[in-house]
Amino acid sequence: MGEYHVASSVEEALEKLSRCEGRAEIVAGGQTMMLLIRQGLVDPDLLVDISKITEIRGIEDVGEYIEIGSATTYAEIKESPLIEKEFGFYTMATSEISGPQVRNQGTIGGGLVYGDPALDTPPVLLTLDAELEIQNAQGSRRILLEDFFVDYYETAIEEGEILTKIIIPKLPKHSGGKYRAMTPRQGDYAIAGVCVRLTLDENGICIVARVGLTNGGDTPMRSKGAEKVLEGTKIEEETIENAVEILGKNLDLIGDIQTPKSYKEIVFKRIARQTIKDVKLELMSDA
Amino acid sequence: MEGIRLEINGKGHVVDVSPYKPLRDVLRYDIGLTGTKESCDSGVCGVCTVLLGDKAVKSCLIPVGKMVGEKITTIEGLAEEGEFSVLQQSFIDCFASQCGYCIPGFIMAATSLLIENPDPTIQEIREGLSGNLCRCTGYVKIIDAVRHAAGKEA
Repeated sequence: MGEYHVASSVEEALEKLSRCEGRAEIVAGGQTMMLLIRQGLVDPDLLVDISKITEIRGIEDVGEYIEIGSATTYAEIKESPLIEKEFGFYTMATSEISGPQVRNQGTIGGGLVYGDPALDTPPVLLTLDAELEIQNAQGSRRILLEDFFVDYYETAIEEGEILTKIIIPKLPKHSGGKYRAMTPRQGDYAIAGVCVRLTLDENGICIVARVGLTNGGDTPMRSKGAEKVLEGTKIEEETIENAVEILGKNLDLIGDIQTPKSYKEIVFKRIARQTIKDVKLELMSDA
Repeated sequence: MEGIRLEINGKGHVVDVSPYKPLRDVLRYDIGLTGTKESCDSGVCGVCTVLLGDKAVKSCLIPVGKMVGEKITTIEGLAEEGEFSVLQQSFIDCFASQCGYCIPGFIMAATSLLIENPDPTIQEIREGLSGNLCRCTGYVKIIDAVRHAAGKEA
C-alpha cells in the first residue's frame, strides 16, 4: 500500500521525496493527480501532499511584483482583490476554470506542473511574463514560465524539485488584457482559447504585445509571430488581420472527429481577432 | 496498520484502505454512505460533491489520505433530527428533482453556495452550480429551489 505524507514545510517535503526509494509524486489539490492515478499513468509508492504548507500559500504584493504561492487555490486567486486590481483579466479567466468544487481544491502550481495545453490560465500567465521559483535540495532556481513548458505534458521541473512560487511583474500603465475561450459548455475544456495583453505608449502605439494560446499546440504557448506584428503599431484593422493570419500559421493543432484542424483554426482566428479588438478598445477608452 | 481517521457528518470513523482511494469510494463502499453518487469519474459531473468544512469539493478527485483533520459533510449529514434542511425541503417543494441522481450533488453545491452567499442572484446561482450536471436538464427547477431556499419567490 502506498504512503501518503502531508508535509508541513518545503524542506520537509524535499527530504521526504529524497528518501523515497520507490516512485514518489507531489500532490497539492489532487485535481489532476487523481485523474493520472485513475488512468494508470502514475503509480506512486509515495504521495507528498504540499497543500498544507503555509509558506507556499497566499498572494503577496512585493512592490514591482505579485507573488503567488504554488499551493494557492484557484478559488483564492479568483477572490483576491490584489489580483483583480493588477490583472483583472487573470481573475476573469480563473473564474472560468471548471466549477467551484475544482477551484476550491485545484492549485495554480498543480495546473502549471501538469503541463496540459488545454488549461485556461497558463497562457494568461504567459502573457503576464510570469516567472517561477523552484526549490530543490541545493537551494532554489528561477525560470521564465515560457521556458518551463517543454512538450506535451512535459515541463522543466526535475525529480526532487518543488515549484514554490509564481512571480508576476505588475503591468506598466496603459496595459490591458483579455482571455476568451470557446468551450462546448461552461466549465468544460476549451476547444480554443486566446489571451491578449497589450501595453501602449502615450501616443497609442503598442510597445508590448503578448498573445497566449490554450490548446494551440503541444504546450501552453505564445504566438510570437502575432505579437511581433502588433508591436510598434497603432493596431489598425489591417495590422490585426496580419497578426491573425500569422497566429494561424503558429498553431500546431491536433484535429479530432468533432473538431477538425481546419475548424479549430477558424475558431482561433476569430477569437484572436475579437480579443485584440476588445483589448485595444478598452485601452482607448481608458486613455 | 492503524487506518485513516475521518470525521464524517460529525462522527468519527477509521478506515483501513489505500490513502490514494478516492474519498467518494470510501464513503460509498467502506462506510456505506451511498447518498454521494458516482458517475463520470473525472471531476466533470459533480454528483459526488461533498463539503470539506463549508467548501464544496468533488469527492472522486480527493485522495482519502488528504482527509485527516477535515470535517466532511455528505448529503446524509444535512438533516437534523429527522428534519430536512431548508434547502432539501425546498428541492421537494419546488419539484426540483426528475430522475434524482444528480440531486445530492446539487444540494451539496448549493448548500456551500448559500453559506458563502445567502442572497445570490440567478446568475450567481448558475455560476455556483456550474460544476454540476443534470442530464434530465432540469436546471430551471433546481435554480428555483435554491432561490426559494434563499427566501426569494421561485
